[in-house]
Amino acid sequence: MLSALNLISQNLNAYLVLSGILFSIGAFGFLARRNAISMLMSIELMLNAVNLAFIAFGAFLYSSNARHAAEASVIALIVMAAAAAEATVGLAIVIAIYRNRKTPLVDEYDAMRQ
Amino acid sequence: MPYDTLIPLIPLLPILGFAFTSLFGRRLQLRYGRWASELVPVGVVIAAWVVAMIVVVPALQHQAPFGDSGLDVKAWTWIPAGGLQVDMGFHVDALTACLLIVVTTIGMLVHVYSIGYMAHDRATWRFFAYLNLFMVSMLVLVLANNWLLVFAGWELVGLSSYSLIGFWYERRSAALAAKKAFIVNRVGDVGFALGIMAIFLNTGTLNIQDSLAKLVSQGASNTIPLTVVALLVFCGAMGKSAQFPLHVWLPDAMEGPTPVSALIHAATMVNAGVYLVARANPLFASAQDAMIVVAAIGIFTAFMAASIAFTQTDIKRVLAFSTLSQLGYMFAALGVGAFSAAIFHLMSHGFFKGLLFLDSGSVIHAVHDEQDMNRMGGLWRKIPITHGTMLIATIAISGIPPLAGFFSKDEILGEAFKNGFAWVWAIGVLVAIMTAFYMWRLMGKTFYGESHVDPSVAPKVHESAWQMTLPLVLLAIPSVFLGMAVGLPLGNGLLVQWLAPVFKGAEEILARPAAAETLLGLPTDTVLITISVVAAVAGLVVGIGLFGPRRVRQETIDRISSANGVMRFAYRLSLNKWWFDELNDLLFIRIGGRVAAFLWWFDRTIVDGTVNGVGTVVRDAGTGLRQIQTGRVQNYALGIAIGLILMAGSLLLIVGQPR
Amino acid sequence: MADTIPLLGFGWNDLLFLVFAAIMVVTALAVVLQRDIIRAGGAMIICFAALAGLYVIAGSPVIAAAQVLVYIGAISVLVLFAIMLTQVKSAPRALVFQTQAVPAAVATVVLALLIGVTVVATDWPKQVATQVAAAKDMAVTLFNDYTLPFEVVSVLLLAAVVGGVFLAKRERAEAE
Repeated sequence: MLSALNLISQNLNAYLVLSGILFSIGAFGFLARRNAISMLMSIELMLNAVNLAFIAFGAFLYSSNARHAAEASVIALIVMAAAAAEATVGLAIVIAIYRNRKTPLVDEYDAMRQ
Repeated sequence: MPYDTLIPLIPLLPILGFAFTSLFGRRLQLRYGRWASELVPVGVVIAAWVVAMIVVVPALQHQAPFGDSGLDVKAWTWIPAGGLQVDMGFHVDALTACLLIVVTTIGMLVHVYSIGYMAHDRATWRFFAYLNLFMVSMLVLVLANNWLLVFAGWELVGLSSYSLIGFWYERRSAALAAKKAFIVNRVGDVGFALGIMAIFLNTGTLNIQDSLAKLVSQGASNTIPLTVVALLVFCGAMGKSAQFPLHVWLPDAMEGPTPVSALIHAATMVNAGVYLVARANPLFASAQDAMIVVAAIGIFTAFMAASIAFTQTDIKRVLAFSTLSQLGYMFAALGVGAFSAAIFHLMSHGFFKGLLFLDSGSVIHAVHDEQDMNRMGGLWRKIPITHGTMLIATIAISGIPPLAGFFSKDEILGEAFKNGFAWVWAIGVLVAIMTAFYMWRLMGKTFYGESHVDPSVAPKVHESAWQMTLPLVLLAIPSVFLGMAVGLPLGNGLLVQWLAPVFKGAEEILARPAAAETLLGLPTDTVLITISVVAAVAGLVVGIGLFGPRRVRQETIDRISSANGVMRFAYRLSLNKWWFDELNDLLFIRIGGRVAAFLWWFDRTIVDGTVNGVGTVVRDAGTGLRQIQTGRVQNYALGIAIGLILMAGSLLLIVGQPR
Repeated sequence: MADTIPLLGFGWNDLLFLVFAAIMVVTALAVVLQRDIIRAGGAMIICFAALAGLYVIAGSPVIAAAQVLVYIGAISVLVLFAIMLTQVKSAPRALVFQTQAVPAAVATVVLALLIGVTVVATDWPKQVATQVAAAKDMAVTLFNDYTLPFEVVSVLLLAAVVGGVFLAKRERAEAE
């Protein structure tokens, strides 16, 4: 039983499953939380899950490209930059909306209904 | 070829006049006065007349470019649609030329006359624009070389006739009459349109000459029997030429200004039907049953209209019924196969009936817009030119030799008898008597006897202006001489020679045996002519005896009109126009109205109900589905997520394990 | 240090992986389930830190450093500020979740299973040893093959900065 856990830290499947769980948790938060900021945090979780998958692929997936681990890291870096931009603008928008509607709760933003 | 240019020019000139007058007429009239707006429309019609005459003379004599079969001029391809090739093309042969003479001459004279007649009207420019439009339509109708173009002209004359009947649209009766004319014509037009489709189905071409040749050569192997085709085409002719039972619109059309009545409802448009049947003569000759229907309807209309004319008191209505009656003659002639006689009568009738109408207009003008003959009388001294020309026209229509009406009418009756339609001949002679009588009644009531003119108007009665009297005199000339000019020698006159190539096809198909040379020991022609003349004279004599000029036997007239029994029934039959309006009212307004009301109900509840039901279902479904559209972003996001999950899952299931 | 931990029978790296993974899942769940949004924010920081640890295990120390700087240093602080700016004390605390929380939960569980099944069922071409993303390699890759994305990202960041300033300015303009 213990041998099944052998070298789990180098097992691609372990990383990917972890990434999937993290992504699903983020997705649930995004779909279920009422607070706009909670939704943004959930998005961050999902982005991190994707990043983890990238890094895992880079580290443990066989490729003939010698630098593909570095490549995966570069992509992860770019994702982080995008996430930072997204967080900046997203939070700014949330604050702007909050200023108008006096609430951070997304389900009260129903202007699209009219 | 100069004719290639000249022939399209004939309709083109009035088109330009119509466009110019309708665009600028009002401004010109307001700024410079009436004459400015009349200059162009009258000018173009006179120009069109000149051009037409240049074309007509060689066409009638079958000269170089025209020949026996006529000249085809193609302006451009109008509708190039695969198997359907329709040219904007014209065809001029002797038949077209005859019609051109009538249309352009009377059209021109009516234009000139209208200058005087409409001098007190507000919107003369509109009137002249319509008149020009009518000239365009009629010329296109006559000149066209294909059925579709004929139909276009056919509808356009209907439209311009509608506009002109309803010219004084502020009068309710005029508006109603215009509508009536338009709708009744429509009934016939549907038949004509179906006829054209049938011709196209049978032959695959819309060119008149080609299709007729093909129809005849195919004979019984046509998809649609020739009799049906002929009757459908005749249906259109019935509408436009106001034959029973579609005659009801013509008397009402007299609500329009009198020049319109003269031009459209006496001399030109109503002849379109006659022209159409004459144009399609090989088709009708190949469909004997249809010919008999044509003859029967024609002669019946002639008799019925003549009988109605006995008792009408509106001067224009008498003339309208007279027109119906004479058109009936023409159709009877077509029906018995006397095509050139029909065209002969068309021409002579065009001139003298146009003259009669213009005369009546002059009379109406003189007595200040009074149309009731009971309020006229004794006018002949005051308006001598009108009286003189009207007398000529009356004698001409009655059929007294040597005026135009005698030749054409006699030819119709003679041909009917010789072609074996004795019943047509007999009724025709009876109608001839009637014609002479009611025409003289009109003369007597209008010009002779005591004056019943409104005392306040009586001193002011005067002859019309020269623009009006000049056309009268000019029209009187052909009314007198046309018959002698083209009708002699009898049965083989100039006109018959001119038209012979056009009707050759029909003559060959009919191939009638020569009629008996003698009748009752005398030459047949002599006997028939004698009978015609005696009939006409008899009618006139009775008319003169009753209505003047020497003495009006008022008590006799009263006794007839107040008699009992059969006489009373006949009188009321005539007075009420055989109750046709009432019959139509019953059939189409009451019964038809019920049917229409039911159909309306059906449409509203069942058809609309279905449509609305669909709408309601969709709307309710939309209302239901709208609940999904919460406007909350997360609901949408969940939708997207579920959709993606389902797609990914099904991909996994379908593709199976990757690798 | 021994390759395997005595008693447990597996390596230190494996132990660290399990610990970090456990921390991550727990804190991630806290982020989405915690009613108090400030605590949720705190849990998010821990989650990010654990993830940075995982990056180190996976042989990407540079990314781990970036993770700490960007996520913990910048984004989390930003989120916390936003929380403070929008926190309404009177807001009903009970209503943390949407009405669609249950279907969302079902959907995300299905999603997790789907990913798991896919991952396990796929026969990945395995790397024999952990591939280390050296900083030098990364630099070469980033500034040779990924120059254009790099520049695009810099423009994106600039746009984000301008956007943030714009929104902040409007806030002040409105406050006046």
